[in-house]
Amino acid sequence: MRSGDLAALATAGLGAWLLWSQYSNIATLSWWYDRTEYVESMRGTMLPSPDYELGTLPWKVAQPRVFDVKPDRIALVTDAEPYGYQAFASVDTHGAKAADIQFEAEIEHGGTTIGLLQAGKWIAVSSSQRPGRFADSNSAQLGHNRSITVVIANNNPAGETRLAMKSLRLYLRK
Amino acid sequence: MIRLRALARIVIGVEFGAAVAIIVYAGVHDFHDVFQGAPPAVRARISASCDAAGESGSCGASLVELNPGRYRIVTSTSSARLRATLTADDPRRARYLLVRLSQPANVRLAIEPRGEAGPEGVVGADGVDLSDAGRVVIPLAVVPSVTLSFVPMAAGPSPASSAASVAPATPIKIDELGVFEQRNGLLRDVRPVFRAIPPARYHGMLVPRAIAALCLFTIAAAVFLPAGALKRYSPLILPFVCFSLCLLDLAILFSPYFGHDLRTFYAAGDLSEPPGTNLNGGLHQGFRLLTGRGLTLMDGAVAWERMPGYALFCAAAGILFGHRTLLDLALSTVLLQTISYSAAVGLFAWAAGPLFPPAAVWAVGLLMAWLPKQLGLTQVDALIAPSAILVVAALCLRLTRTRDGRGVPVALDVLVHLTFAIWFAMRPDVLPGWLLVSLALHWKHWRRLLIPAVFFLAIGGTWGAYKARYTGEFALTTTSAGASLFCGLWEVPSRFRFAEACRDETYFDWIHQNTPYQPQSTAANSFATREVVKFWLTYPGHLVIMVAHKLMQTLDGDLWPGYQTQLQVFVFGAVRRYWIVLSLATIVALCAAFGYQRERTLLLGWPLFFNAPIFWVMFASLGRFYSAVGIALLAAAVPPIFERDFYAALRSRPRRAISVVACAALFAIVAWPFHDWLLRQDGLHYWTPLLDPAASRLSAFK
Repeated sequence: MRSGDLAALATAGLGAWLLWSQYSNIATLSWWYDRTEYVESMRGTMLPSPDYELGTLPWKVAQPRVFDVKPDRIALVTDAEPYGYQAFASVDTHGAKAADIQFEAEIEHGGTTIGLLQAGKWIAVSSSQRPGRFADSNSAQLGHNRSITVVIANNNPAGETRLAMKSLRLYLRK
Repeated sequence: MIRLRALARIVIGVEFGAAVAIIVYAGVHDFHDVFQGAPPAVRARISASCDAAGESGSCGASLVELNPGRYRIVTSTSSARLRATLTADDPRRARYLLVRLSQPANVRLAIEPRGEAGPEGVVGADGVDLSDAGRVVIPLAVVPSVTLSFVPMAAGPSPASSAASVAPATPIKIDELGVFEQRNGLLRDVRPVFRAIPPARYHGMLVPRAIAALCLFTIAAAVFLPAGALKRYSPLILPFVCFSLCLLDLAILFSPYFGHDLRTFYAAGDLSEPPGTNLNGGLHQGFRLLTGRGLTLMDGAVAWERMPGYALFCAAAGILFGHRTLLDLALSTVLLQTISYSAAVGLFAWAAGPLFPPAAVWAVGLLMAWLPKQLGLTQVDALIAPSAILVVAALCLRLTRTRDGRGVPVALDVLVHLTFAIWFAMRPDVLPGWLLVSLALHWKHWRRLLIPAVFFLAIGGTWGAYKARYTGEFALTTTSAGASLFCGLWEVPSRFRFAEACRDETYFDWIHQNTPYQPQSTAANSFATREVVKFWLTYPGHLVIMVAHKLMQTLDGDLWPGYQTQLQVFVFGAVRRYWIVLSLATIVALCAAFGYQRERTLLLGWPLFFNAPIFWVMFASLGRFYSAVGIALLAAAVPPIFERDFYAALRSRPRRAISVVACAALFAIVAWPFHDWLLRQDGLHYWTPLLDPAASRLSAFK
């Protein structure tokens, strides 16, 4: 095969990849905005039953100073690690293609990051470093891995964070 | 194998077509946003009044119509309240109020219905807190009219709790106010796909980066397309691609959704200032010409620092696209600038077709279209790039004739010099290059030097005679060369007193302090020129350092001036402009050293040698005058990349090729450290070996 032929094949492949990847990237982002807008719009309405919520998630902890779980509230005081994971809950996706998370927290001091991990990578992240109410919705498309992990992490360069999780709902979408 | 290759080329052709279609669509989608700024508003009558704050006295509210039904309102003085009454022609359609606050940072808006309310809609009886963060859309009740009351509030987390008495005392500026039937298209653009992505991210980041990638792909793909078809269709396709890329840039820089649209930008900016600023000078001249008041800036005054071409261009834009108001003329001018740029690229593609390989024509044309531009600004610099492209196109026609060994007809030389003349009618910096290129072209047929001479005298003489009616003195060009030389001195760091951002006022004050002349006069121009030359001789080290500094700024990317968006940052963010410029300059050097298309390369690249250096001694204004130089670099350096003979020439004398590349690499590596070292050499900088510094009227230190 001549170098010119190889170059033609490579250029054809590059073009196909470029067109597909650009479309795919923007379409995925559009889906995310659409989804989070929808999930956020559900806040304050009659919410459908989530697959998991604050009291039903199988929480495990790293080394927080306080992690007090009640059905409708979790009180959390993190350790001094500025960005350390504090609590996490892994659940089976049951073949779901997407996940929506909706939560409300009250930050007394410091900051926090709440999101979803799959195969060790963040697939949805919401962060705040301001005391006060912190409520958000987020969505992510899921990969082939069979589990995802809800994570609450510290996000305070100065050290300890105090917060109360007032609600957290996880929806798995087929 | 042949079938596989043919299949690959078919696939590339389809991908090329798809990429071009996407590029064109993406830009055309933004046309309405760029030139209208909002969907059609409901026609409404509006009246406004205001209350002065404290003891400020009387207060007046002025209205500017941005589009039919969309207004800008400004109070004349610090205000405690601004009232506006809107009466829609068809109240049933007046469903949404669009407001954009500019000043102060926070106001409370109370909406008071007038007349009998309909069954639907919402009225903010308790008021709506507005900030200067951008557009706000508020649902309205169906009523015959509404009175809007804007009261300044103190900035803070809860303006509602703040007393109006602690609000900052400033005029109230509402950049946009109008009523609309639908909210679609007010806060985000209406698009058929990807609707959920916010405009700032979609238009500011995702689309331009995707389009930049597609542009680069088409350059690679063009190599594999049928040469005949590409040559035939490039002149037809490239103008549309260019128009689209221009619109993409304008839609980012003047977005109604995350910035200010062009109409708001001009209404709130230069059009609210006295005539004569950079962005309104040409518009005022053109508007006055269209309204029968001559090519003047104001009654009895002509522009001392401008040639007439840009004002005539603005007038032509007004005739073509409307000039009901100065604002309409500004938008018409931006539109015609965009069309002119696109048409120039198309003409280049047509003219360069016989001279370069089709893929090279596509690459150069596309890169010209892709470069950062200044098309949103109504000043002459926006037209220098298209003027330079026209010069390149005309030179391509002439080069094709000479390459083929055919004689150059007089008509073709007239065309070549006409393109130079168009540039001269806009800005006189073309003159040295025009003269030298003319001598190079016609040294064997010196009678043809009459062609540029006639053009020069016709344009310069006409303008000089016209100006003489107002100024009482005759000058063939502008009388601002002295001012430009004066300001150019201070564009390198130094301890001299004037070493700061140069403004007209700085020059005027200096002229007034040292002469009895009017700063705009020929006498003042001559005085300033003499003093600057004397200053160069007094401080030759300063001259050397100034030239070296500006040369490095040029190489560092100033030769591609204009506002960069993600369309360009996609490339310039990955590869620093300095390395791109030097790589292209190295190709020019290789062509010159090998004699490969030497005449073609040097002729097309003439602004590199005869235009850029002008601004190393004159005012460069952060590089905004360099656009012709960037165009020339592309036209001279890119085509060889697509020519097999170029590589054959390199292979034929590898030692010479390696020497040129090694010298370029050495220069690239040591140039900046040397520049930095040079700037620290105060002994050289302030060395006065020839003239007494006390005799210079510019040599005062801080």
